[in-house]
Amino acid sequence: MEFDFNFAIPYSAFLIVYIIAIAIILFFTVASLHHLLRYGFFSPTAVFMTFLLIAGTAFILFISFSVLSGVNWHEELTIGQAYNSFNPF
Amino acid sequence: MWLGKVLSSPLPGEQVIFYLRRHWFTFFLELIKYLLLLIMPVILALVFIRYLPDRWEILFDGGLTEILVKLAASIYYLGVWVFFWTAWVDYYLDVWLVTNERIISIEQKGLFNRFRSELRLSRVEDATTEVKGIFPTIFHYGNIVIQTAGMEQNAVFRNVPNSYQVAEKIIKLTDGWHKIHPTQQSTDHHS
Repeated sequence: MEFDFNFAIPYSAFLIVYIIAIAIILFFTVASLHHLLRYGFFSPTAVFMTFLLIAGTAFILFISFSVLSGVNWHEELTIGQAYNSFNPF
Repeated sequence: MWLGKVLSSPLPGEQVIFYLRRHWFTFFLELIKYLLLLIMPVILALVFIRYLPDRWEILFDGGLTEILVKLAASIYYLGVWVFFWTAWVDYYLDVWLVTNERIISIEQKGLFNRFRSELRLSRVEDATTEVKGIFPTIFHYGNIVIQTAGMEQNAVFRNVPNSYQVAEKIIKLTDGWHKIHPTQQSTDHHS
């Protein structure tokens, strides 16, 4: 009796989970920006801090993109084991 | 001036006397917390490189673990950065404005709750100060509770600098208001 117990997860599945997490965090960034622009009263401090928020977020995203751009997302993670010689009797 | 946005519809003859934010040290404590969160992964990496170099090589062998570590690091750093900013927004948007007519309290609770309340000086009865703990004592900041007439809710200034002097100023302003408006006592209501 022969059967194959293997299944594969493409690396891109991890990328999708990552993008969802980043989207949630960016939602909080937009909420922060909205509050600063709406209630921050356009003081010099608020303008400077808003710039810093955008610049810092963009910097982290740029570094992340640079580090992750070299990954081959078409590769697959294989889970399980082939039991081609399975013969209990 | 930005105060115009807080005091969008001033009362006749109303003037801003002063405004307050929480003491800078309360935000500094948050800053230290987030700096530690930023530095901790770097310290962890240095410990791995110094004491567990073989494990470090396994982690960064170009395989899936390396990719997962990089994805996690990216999420972690972006998360810490953004939540640091939400802490700053929370700090920056808490404002207490005192005019010659009323006290306006604006408090940001997290990102999605914002409270604004007003208290007429005519309703102020007393102001008590609470300076509690080592840091508030050293840096001269504390809470001020503005007690009101009747069953109305007290106003609270949280962690404001020079709290004793501010409480005194509010009492003087209230006394001054009562001298100017001797017939209007307790006729106003707070909203």
